[in-house]
Amino acid sequence: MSQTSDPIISQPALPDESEAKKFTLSENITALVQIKNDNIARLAQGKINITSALVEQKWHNRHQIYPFRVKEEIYGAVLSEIIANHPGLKNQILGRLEAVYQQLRNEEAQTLSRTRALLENNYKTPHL
Amino acid sequence: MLPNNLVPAILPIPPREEDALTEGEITLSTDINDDFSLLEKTILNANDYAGQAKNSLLEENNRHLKDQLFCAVKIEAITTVLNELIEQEKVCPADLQMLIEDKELQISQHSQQIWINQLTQEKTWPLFYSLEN
Repeated sequence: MSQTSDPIISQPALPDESEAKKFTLSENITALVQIKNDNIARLAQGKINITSALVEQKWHNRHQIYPFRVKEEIYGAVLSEIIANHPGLKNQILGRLEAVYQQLRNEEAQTLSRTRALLENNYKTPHL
Repeated sequence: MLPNNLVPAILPIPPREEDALTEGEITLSTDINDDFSLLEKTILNANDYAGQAKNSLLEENNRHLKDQLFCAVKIEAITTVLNELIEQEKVCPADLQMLIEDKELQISQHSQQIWINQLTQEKTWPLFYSLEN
């Protein structure tokens, strides 16, 4: 587990997973703050027409999130159907779903990896 | 940055064994909430800078990022659980494949509703499934 799966090149000073996460987090925060500052420089200095830029931005954002929404709806509908077909598994499935969600949420709070990938436009949703 | 829970009012009758676990989760998520609020302050756009009026563009981008992140994490969580069901042989891969194709077809026929709801935000997401009773 520790030998094969580490993507970071020879890491002598990272004794455990939590150190590795801290390292990732600080790298990601640096990148995200840079993105934020670029955005502010671009958007908040009163040089652009906010109203028309907002319309454009909203349009862009809707296009960007649409495939996520569709995929979520499909996979969610699949899971709901499985629950409907196996009522005995309902609590187990929902319990597991919540536990996995908590795990992912926790991981995101510790690394911000998805946040960064989303803002850098290279996040890929998993595929079944 | 991410909502506290995915499944609303989970497990109405919690089995005794899980009590400890649930308590652990509550403590944990309180910490995460602190982490997230600190991180949000660091990486998200503030609503105003040095007395400038609120910038609706920056607000829009914050909102969009949070929506996208929540959607992404939901897809990851559902995918993980479905893969586990296959591994545990509770669902057979062929059935799952059929179900996916079925839902893809069904939802693609109504995909307009997803687009329209993005414009109006009239209904709360999601539109085609529910984790409540």
